[in-house]
Amino acid sequence: MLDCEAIRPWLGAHLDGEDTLVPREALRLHLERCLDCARHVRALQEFLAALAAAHQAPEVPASVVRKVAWVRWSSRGSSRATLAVAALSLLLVVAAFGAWPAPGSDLLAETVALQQALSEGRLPLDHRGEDPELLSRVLSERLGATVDFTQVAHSGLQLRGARWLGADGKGGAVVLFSSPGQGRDVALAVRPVSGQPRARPRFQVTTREGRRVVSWEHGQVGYTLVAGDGQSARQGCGTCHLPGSPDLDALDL
Amino acid sequence: MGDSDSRRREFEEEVTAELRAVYALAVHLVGPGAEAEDLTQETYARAFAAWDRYALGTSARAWLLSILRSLFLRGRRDLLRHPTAELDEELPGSGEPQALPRWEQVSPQMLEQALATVPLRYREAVVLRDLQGLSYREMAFVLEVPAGTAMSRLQRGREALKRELIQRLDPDAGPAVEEPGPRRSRP
Repeated sequence: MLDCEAIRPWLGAHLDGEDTLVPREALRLHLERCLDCARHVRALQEFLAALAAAHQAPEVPASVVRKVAWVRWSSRGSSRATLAVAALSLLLVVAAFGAWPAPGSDLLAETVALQQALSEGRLPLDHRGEDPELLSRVLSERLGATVDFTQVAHSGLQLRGARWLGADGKGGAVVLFSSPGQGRDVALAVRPVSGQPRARPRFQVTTREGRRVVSWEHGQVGYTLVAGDGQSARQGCGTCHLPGSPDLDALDL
Repeated sequence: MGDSDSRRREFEEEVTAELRAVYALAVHLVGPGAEAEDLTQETYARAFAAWDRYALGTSARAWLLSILRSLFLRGRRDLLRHPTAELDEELPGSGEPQALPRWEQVSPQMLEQALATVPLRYREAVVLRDLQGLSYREMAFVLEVPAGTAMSRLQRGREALKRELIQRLDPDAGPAVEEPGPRRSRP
């Protein structure tokens, strides 16, 4: 059996999932038998978990986003076509990291952009968690209307969290679900709508930038679901809308 | 659109997505403010200028962070004239308190302050691995050292950070007491 002195320097790397000069099996066997080293590993695990919990990456200031967008633009050629693309890139980057348009200006386009930015981690979630009941409660309080995600969460999609829309969160939220096995996450924008409440939802299905988008209003809440493809959209909508549903046939997605 | 344009676009998307990680490392190295912003901007200027040397699909984060670190070190050397003066700081002697740390009380601010006390060469390793999520290989690439050296720096950095956090969690804990060392096998 390897002694502790030979093992101890490799425990950190072992815990980090890295290959070391000591075979993993030998390390595992040693840890099963050696209380000292096992305690050492547990202490390191707890310490690393504390780091992960306390760590908050700094928000990128808008000025940095603009500078980088400018660098990106200026590093290209100066032809007219390039200029147009660069200007668009600049707008996209600034939009992705800076202030978002006011809710309602174009929720569909905003949700598509947010789905991508949140999914890729370019924007942080304001609310993190996998508890659909908790998020339903929080959002219902914010919107002053009933929002219920519990059924969607049972569809196989996993709740990741939400990003509030609007400075005070009163403008609604974009809720992010991961779709195991699918390339992209599913985003659901929820925002209050004014006017006469709708008793029955009316669904609109469209495609935007290669993503399937389903929009509807129910009660005094408007929803916009953005999915990577029809399969993800069916996964989300199919929970409530079985094939043949008069409102929305999920198979049509 | 030509193949080169398409690759360029892909490259730009890949590196722009790492902006937060790049800025975070800049802040860890020089603190928040204008210097971190300039360092980030310069990193991207270098990256965009050298885009044809980057292999799509490899670690954009590690590549960008290595550029940033080189720029940072170059600036330091120009400033200090003594390239390694501050980089060779030594760690205090090892030793850990016996009480179990209350890790749940570590706040983001406490972590940042404690991290700032760790000598740069060890702090870099902790930031790259534990906060930025780089693999050991990527960490070694960014630090421009062999993987074994990177691992050793990471260990020492973690130990230093742990000691500092424990001290901050319980300032009255008194002098550090050596933890029992590894058991030695007898011949």
